Amino acid sequence: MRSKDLETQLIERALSSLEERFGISKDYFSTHRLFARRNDVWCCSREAGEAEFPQIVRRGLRIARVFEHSVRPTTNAVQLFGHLVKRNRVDLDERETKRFLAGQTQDIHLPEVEGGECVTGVTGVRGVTGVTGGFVVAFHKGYALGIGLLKENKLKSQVPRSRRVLSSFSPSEKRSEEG
Amino acid sequence: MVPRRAARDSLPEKMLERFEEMGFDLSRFVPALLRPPSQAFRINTLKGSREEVLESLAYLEPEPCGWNPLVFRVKKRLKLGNLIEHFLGLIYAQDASSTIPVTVLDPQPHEEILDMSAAPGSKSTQIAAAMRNTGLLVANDVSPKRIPSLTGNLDRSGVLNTVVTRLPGQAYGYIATERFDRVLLDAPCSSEGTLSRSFRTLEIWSESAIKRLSATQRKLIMSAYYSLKPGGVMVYSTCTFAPEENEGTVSYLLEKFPEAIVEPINLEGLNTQPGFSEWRGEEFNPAVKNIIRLFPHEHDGEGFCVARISKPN
Repeated sequence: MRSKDLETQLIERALSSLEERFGISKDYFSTHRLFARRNDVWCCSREAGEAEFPQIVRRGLRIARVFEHSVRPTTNAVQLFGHLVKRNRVDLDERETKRFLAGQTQDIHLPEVEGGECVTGVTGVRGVTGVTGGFVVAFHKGYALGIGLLKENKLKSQVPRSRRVLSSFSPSEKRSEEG
Repeated sequence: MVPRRAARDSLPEKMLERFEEMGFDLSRFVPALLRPPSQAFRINTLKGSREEVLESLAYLEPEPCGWNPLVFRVKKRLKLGNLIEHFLGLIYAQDASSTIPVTVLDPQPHEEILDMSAAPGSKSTQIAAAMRNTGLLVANDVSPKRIPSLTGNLDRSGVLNTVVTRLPGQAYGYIATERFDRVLLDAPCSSEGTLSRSFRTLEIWSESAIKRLSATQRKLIMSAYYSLKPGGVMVYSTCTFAPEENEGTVSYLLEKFPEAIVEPINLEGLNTQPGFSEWRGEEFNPAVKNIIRLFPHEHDGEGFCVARISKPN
């Protein structure tokens, strides 16, 4: 059985990572209840966290998975908290978005990223904001799509299989098809 | 084997007889029942504002449904589930009629609410959005097979205030007596109103199935009422026309709890009919006239039946 200390450590690691890497303040979660199951950190309303019923399948939303050397926020979490992301965000155009939603890995040309190493901390071209190699949040038209792994100018989509969209189209493409 | 596209000929004779007994003009009613209604979506305010979503989807020329400012119909034929707005959880594709029970329930922030038969989650996600992700929403479903679709939709919609449970709905009357501010019982039913979406309904439809479902619904509605706080409100809904499953079930509750109040429902822009007063010689409690019935030949949506019931203090 996991000790309370270990659970607290996991939650702390996840929150610190969200703050350091993406600029999401820990304060944002102060009105929520956080808990850990195995290596996953979950978030729910206080009332949902305290409710007791038989046969509970789950509470709230899984927000991050904690690995030995890194923390990966979930697609569902960044779609909900995406507006709070201040750095390590990459804006994708429509074609790139399509590939990202299909779960593909794609070349991405970010002058700031060299060899997957930490390079910059400033806003660059294409809406790239303070990007370093590692997990980044992919955006399209201001909406957080999900998490990508950026390494050596390649962006590997982390959208889970169950959420991938193979035939999505974006509004402007649809408009041009109709036109 | 039931064909994917059914014609009037594929409807069981007994079903047609029943529809006729309900007073429907079959020449209008059956074609409307078999014709898919306009697609519709609900804007999920947990993920985005009404204005920005409408701006993004303006090219679809969405038409507002009067009774709920977040529900829109789309005349164009396309798969809403393939839109990026759907992937982002900004919209939830669902039939316009199926948004009515939660609109009638009128959930409020910080309440405790039970959705007794929650999968696949269209109504749970609508409740959570109305609660602004606060308080407690218990999304229950007895079927292990249906839980993944429920949790998947809760995830995509960004729902945080939910506890998902896998219990027979009948249990809640015992384990959570007088606990909830509001309860939604969108009961398992014979699904006659959704024939245009799934003709598989015909595989299970029979008069004995209606009888069996009606017995289950009676247990569920009792449990729902027991789990409601004094002063609380519950909504009972089905997507079927069978009076045994609608007025019959609500009348049964009123027989056991005469103090329960079936409240009138007034939703703008909705063409509804009142509940039936009798069926095959059985007189229902007069209060069931406050149930609203939606018929596909009078309303662009699936067939539905909704009752709002309050528990006095």
